[in-house]
Amino acid sequence: MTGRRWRGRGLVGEALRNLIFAWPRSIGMVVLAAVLLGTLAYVEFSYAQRLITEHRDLVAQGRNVLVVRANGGLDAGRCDALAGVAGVLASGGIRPEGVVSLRHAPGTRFQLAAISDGAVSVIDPVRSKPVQRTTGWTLGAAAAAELGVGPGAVLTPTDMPPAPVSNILSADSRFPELARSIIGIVAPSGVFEECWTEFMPGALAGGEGMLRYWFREADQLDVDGALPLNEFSRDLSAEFALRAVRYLWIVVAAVVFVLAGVVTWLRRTELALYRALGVSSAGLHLLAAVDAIVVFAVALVVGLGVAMVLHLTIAVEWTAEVLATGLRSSVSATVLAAILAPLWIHVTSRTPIADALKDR
Amino acid sequence: MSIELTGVTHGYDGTTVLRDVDMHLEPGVVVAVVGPSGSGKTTLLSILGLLLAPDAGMIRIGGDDLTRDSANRGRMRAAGISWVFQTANVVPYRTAIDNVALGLLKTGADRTTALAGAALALASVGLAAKAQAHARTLSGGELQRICIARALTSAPTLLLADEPTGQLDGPTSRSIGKLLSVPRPTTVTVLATHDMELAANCQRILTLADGRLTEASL
Repeated sequence: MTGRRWRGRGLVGEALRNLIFAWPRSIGMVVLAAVLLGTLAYVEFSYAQRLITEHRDLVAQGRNVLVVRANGGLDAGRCDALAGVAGVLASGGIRPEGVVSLRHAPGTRFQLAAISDGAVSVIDPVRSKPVQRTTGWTLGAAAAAELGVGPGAVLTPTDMPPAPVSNILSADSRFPELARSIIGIVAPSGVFEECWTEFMPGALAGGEGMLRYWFREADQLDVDGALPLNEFSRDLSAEFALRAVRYLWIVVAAVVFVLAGVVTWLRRTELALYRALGVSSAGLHLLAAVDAIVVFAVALVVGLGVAMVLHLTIAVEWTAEVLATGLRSSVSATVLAAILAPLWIHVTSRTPIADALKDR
Repeated sequence: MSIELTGVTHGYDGTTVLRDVDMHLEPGVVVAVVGPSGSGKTTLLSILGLLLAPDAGMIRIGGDDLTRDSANRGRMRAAGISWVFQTANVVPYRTAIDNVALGLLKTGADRTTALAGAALALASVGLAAKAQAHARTLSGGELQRICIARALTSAPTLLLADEPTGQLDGPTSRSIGKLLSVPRPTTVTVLATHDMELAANCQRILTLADGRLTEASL
């Protein structure tokens, strides 16, 4: 038997017109789905933002910095040469040189230290311009504040010739002990007590072994983190991968799917009319799919938009990673719900048309 | 296309409603099926309209056995069968003309053609002025006339009407009755009704009682 029947385009048009004419239902569905999808995005935004912020704070505090010490010190040249090794961002040494007082502040004692310019890069990574090796002094920020001096001021430590202050070093985040020091920037020669090395993200894991090998001739080598490795064992990437909300998108998709089921059930008589008018099972699926795609797509845009605005009012910064995380979850939930929603047609189509039309 | 029922039996929950019903209808005929409430008129029309598969027996349309062939049953429902249901089944939030246009869209017509046909059909049932009214704002009688217009807008192989004038007032009932009982050369028309005036306008009257179908003399 052959026969003319519904065109696909005609059914798409029907679905769109039904959405428009039944606007209270459409808007209700959009709002409910938007709340669910927006909440999902917001939860993901917040979680990702918290972890990323924590990660950045840790990196700023020296998460990727290892400090090597040895009995009798470390060869300064080898410490400095680490900067050329793959995976190393910067490296340099520190040598404490006792305490000192100043002629114009008698009785007040300051730490005296010699550090290489490579170590300055590790200790003060946010410094806008590198320090220069000069005959002048570099002051820790706390020492500079305490003395009330800045670059250009002349300091005269006891038993030393006067010299100007050349740099102020901000060591608060990675090496606060250095903050109240008078520092001389020195060439990498002789022996350093500590060698500070910052690794690129991801290279830290192999860093300890590499440093042990690098300084294998040193006596009683000790390698530790600037943030103590044994006290800090969090792996933020793993935490993110195993986060409790990682399956929330499936839960949200399931709830949206159930919501679509309720709406389909409420429309069962209308759908039975379309069946009576010869719309095939595939045609009914097309009607439901267009309905789901349009409603869920609008809900996704609205939900994501609101979630982003809400998050922006709270978050200090906004990153592509955070955006990607929220987008990935909410888009996944939307796509899954849109794929599943037309399956409700199978449930409503089980009822004979005559019964569904209450016309027996 | 001829319509043929052979030995059709159907029941609900152990109660047999139709027993061994035979029927042969040729294009152009207008048949009234009468009988008391609960006698199985709607069930008979549901089986004829391919909305219900009989428990036993066979239905052929144009020589094709459509008793169980679900794909072709759907195709025939779209292309060849028009219904006026006892309950006015419409898409409630769509306009009158949109609801009527469904009768042509189901046959594959494009929307422009369907709307043009729907406008004519609405005029034929006296609802031209209500074309843009939403179905939910219309009275029961007006909805029934929309269903009739939807059924008449295409040229079906089989036109089925279940109590089509049940919700209409006297004058409207008579004019709609006349509209439905006009013989159409390519259409088999079957009207289930209690309205003996409408039945009298038909070429044949079949009486359904105790599940059996018998021809009544006019």
